[in-house]
Amino acid sequence: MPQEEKKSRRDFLAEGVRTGSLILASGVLGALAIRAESGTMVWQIDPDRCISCGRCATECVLTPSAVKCVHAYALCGYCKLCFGLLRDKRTGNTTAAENNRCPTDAIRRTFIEDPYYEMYIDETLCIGCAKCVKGCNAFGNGSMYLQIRHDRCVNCNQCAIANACPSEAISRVPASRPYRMKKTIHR
Amino acid sequence: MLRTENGFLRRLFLSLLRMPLLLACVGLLCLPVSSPGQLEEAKKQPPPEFSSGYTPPLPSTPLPRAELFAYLDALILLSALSLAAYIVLTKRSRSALRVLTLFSLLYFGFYRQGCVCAVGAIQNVSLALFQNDYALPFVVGVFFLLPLVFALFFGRVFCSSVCPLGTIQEMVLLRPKRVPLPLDHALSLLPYLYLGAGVLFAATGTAFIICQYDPFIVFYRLGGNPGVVAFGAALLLLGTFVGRPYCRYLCPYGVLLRWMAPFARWKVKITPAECIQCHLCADSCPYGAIKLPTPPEQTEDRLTGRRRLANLLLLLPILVFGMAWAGYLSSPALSRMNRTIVLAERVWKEERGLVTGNTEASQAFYHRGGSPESLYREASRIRRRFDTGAALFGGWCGLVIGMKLIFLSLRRTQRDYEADPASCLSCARCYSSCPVEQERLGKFNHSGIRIELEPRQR
Amino acid sequence: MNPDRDEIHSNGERMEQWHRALSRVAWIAALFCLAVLILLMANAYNSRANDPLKMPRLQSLLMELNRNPTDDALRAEVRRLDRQVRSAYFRSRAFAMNGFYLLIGGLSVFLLALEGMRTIRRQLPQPDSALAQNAVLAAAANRRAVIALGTVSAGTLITLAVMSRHDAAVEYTLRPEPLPTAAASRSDPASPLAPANPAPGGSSLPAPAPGDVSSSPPAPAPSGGSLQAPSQLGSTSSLPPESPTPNPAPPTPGAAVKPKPEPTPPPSSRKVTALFPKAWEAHWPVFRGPSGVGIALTRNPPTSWNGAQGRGILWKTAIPLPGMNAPIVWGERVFLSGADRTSREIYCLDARSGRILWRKPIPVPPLPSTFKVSRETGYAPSTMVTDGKRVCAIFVTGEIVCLDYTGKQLWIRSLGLPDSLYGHASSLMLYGNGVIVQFDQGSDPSQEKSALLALDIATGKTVWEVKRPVPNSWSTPILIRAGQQEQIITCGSPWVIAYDPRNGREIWRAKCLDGDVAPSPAYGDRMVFVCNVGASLSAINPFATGDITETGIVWTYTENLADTVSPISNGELLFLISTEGTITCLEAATGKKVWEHHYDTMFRSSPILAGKTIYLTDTLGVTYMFEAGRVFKELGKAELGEDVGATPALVGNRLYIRGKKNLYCIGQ
Repeated sequence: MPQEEKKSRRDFLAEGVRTGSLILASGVLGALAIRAESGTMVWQIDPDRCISCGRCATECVLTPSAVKCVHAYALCGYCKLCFGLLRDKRTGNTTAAENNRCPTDAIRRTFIEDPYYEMYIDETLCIGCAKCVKGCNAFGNGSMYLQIRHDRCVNCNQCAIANACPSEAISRVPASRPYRMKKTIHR
Repeated sequence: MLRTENGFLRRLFLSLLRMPLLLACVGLLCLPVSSPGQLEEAKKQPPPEFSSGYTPPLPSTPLPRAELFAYLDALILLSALSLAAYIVLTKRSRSALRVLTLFSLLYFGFYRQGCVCAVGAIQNVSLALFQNDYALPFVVGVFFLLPLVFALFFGRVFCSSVCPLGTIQEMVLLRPKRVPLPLDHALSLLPYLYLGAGVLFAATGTAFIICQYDPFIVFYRLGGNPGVVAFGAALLLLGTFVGRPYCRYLCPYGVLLRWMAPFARWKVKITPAECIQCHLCADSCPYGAIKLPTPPEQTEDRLTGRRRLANLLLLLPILVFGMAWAGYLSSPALSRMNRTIVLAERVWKEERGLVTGNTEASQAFYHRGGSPESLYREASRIRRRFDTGAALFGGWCGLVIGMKLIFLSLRRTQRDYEADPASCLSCARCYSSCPVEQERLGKFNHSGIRIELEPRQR
Repeated sequence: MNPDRDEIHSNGERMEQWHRALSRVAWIAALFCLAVLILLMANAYNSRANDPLKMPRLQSLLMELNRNPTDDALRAEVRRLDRQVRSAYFRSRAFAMNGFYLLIGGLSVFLLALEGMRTIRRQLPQPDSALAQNAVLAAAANRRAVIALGTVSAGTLITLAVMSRHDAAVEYTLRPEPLPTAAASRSDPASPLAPANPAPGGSSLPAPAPGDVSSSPPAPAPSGGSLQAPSQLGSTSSLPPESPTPNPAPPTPGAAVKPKPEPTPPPSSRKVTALFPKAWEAHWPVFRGPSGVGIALTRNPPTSWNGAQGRGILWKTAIPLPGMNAPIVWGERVFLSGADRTSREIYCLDARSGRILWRKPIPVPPLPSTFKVSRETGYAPSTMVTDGKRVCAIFVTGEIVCLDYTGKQLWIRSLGLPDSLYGHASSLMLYGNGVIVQFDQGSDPSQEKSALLALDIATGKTVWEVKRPVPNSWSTPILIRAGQQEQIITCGSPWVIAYDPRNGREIWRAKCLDGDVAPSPAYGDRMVFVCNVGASLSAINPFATGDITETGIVWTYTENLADTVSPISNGELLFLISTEGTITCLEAATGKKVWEHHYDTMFRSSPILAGKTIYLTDTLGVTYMFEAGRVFKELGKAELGEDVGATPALVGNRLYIRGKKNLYCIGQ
């Protein structure tokens, strides 16, 4: 019967397509498995490229952003006047609101010994606006810089901040080394 | 259908051929890259000597989600797909499917925040195929391939209850209304165009537009771009009476599934026995996926139909090449989506004093000591990619439109009500509306209601 | 009524009750969702006002507080507002989060209730006959719809295609290296001399001169090839540009180099003009600015600063290794080098922040213990050059290195340890793609050790090289255009020699110097000026060939001569500065003294002329500003607070001064 013949032909064709596709898919998967030795990649900011434009605070898919300021203590100069903490135009040297650079008051300082303080960034408050980064870079050692915090980052397929970053500072890094710390001389 | 299928296969095949090259490039990538700014030590203030024995602590480095969990996700995807196939094809139970839908919504949607998904993975795959410096993550590859493989065997079970984009729409569908058929046909072209654009922009390393304009991810992440939130909300609102507007009229992954599903080994069969031509299943399908029996009488004479078909076949190459040409010409405008192009153009103008001042991007470019020459070279490389890509994209648009017209002019004969495997989303609604199925399940006796079922007059 | 019916009936009743209840639940849930939604939207709207990143009110209050730092009431107000905004911000963030959860909860209840209602009222599906229709008509309608959408998408593509025409982005893909043509074509209409002088004094003619005084056929060079005078160099920007070119130009540039317009314009071939590409105008790519003679093409140079107080100082960056070389600037990048006995380094700084973008150590072999340099020269006395893509530096030990803008080393070559009394100190110059090195050494000219070289900046290979009949010298050559003749003017002892920069062919020479020559030549109007302590200041007519000692020297002047400081001219006047502190103003055309002024200090670095002001920095870091006019008028004085040995760079509105330890950027 022609009808049945047509049907069997169609089945045969479908079978062929399926088998072919399966072989192909397994081939591609196998190749992927070999290629994927580099492992998972995550997004990270290159602090040397960052220009502290402030987009990290506004462009992240998360609110607040997964980008936070990180303080590399080993690089910190423990300046008497910390311009990560304080505005450059100040009226007095208190850390009160009118002198505080951080818009969310996320920088805490703890006394070490006279005249040194340790600057600590409260990540629950930090919104990644990079104001302190700018200050610290301009006047200090640049020990404050932005990093994508992987306990918050959802690791989007395409990072929304990377899309908006004017200095192309955000790129994929291996998940085994998920941070780009600034290079230091004194360890 | 076959033609496009071959195209896809060819692309995959080509990608296989390119694998060694890709591997080599990945190898190169692993070499250490020196960065220009290794100069921080030249800076200013050395740390003081602390008399109190204070040593600077190390900053905390919370780790990303362990890779193991990514494999777990792949495993869960596999189980969810298997379960969906079992429920749709063997158990034929809509309520069980809804439980799975809810689970997928909660897990892939709210818990995993909609990423990685198969829909977006298209872009990773195209990026990996066309840009040698990008390695496709294994799990993303699995997310891309598994639903396609399942479609080859069981139809679009992924859409039914696994896809995080589909499930949220499935949940809000309250009162399905039928979309007028002409509108439905026209809109069903959009996914093809969207797929083309998505691949074009991903392959040129420009943007992942499918992810960027993903309308529902903003709900899973509780926030996002206000425009996208409005778009998503509008789609969900529309989705209360139009079945799955995103899946049917936008989803680019649906196109690939559409190509796979007709070859499925096991397909959705509406009626377990002889179709009684009651028409109820077609009414129950909110997605217009059930093909009706063709009426026996054709009011058009064969010659007119054949002539139209011949005309359309002649039109097809004209359409393809015309659109390809238009696409090629629009390449500069399209390439403006690419940041490197925009930057190169800006730097070019700034160098020649055609504009005053810097943009943040050009400032950053000078700041990192980039060389304009290599920027122009890179931009020209991208522009050439765009020239090819945009021409292909235009040609693709023409092909899709032409093929659609041809398919609409083909005669087909069909006897029973059948689910069109290409557009059936395996939602299992039609089962319960089929009287034959109800009878098989013995539902009629149960509620004490009996109706006589009479075959429709033919 | 049979009991069965009853049961069904009461069952139905119960179901109806359920249905009513669920309907109420659904309504309440819907209203709840709506309320939450409205609140969320209101919150989103409000939170924009509380964005901690933009608080205009707080910002203005802060500015006010900065003006009146003692206003305690204002201070309290700032603190109150800050606390209020911050707490409002965090409150609204928490509100949004909770609202979202509530909304999702409400929606779930709503959907569940609707589902329940539908289950209770489930009816048997009824066939809908509307689907049965004429297949042919339906297909035609479908086709029409598809055609409509196809037209829309084709229209979109065509619109994009139309928009794409005349697109700047197309330009560089078609012409990968169009910079020269673009610059040349731009300089044509902008050429200031074009309307005034029909002869092509300042116009862009890349071809060699027509038979002027010494037109030079591309004869084979003494040794090596020839430098192509690239079209990039075609535009002799005759200083100063008077037309409104987009690049910064002095506001009243008439006084800068070109003197008062002649009543009867002489043939422009008799004018001496600067020789540099138009593209250099916005930069400071070589020692003493684009022209190489200390003329700054800036509109608004800084006029007052104080380094110790930080007033007017944009930034200050410590340069790790010492060096007497001057900074050079291209775009937003500043380059300089530093060296000590064991290491050589090149630095690239961000002109806006002063951050060191990179520093490149140049590996060199250890120096023999016999090699000595003077303390004042140091190990990095020579200023670098850049062509906008690459930077070249030469060190006291004769190594030339070329880096790209990322700090990658392109090439390095050594000219050999120079046999020089103080070490090699002459700075590099740049002509087209040729790095010009005046490598004078040896104590006796008959040893033929001295040479002038042109190295290809791309490869470091020698393009041409000529031997020079002079012993060691420390002067930097300048590039000029005498009429159409391009010349390199070099100072040595005793010869001042002009060479053709394309092939190194000698054009003229004059014997007028003596001793250890360090100042660079200057040029003005129709003459070239050279000077050195122990000889004289001589004005030479460069429109000549051969030995012009007897014929070409127009006038000489012999008092208060310069030892290291190069003279500077605005065309009309010539300013001679002696290390001991005397500034002499001479009439350029005649050599007549106009005025003289003495500062009780020492000058070692060379002056800069910007508009009508001469900037002159002494060894203590005090910069004197005086008018380049017929009467001495001090315009200002500014202290850096650090010793200075290098010549400043003045580009845009920023002045870069290299102190002993730090590089200062002065400006707004």
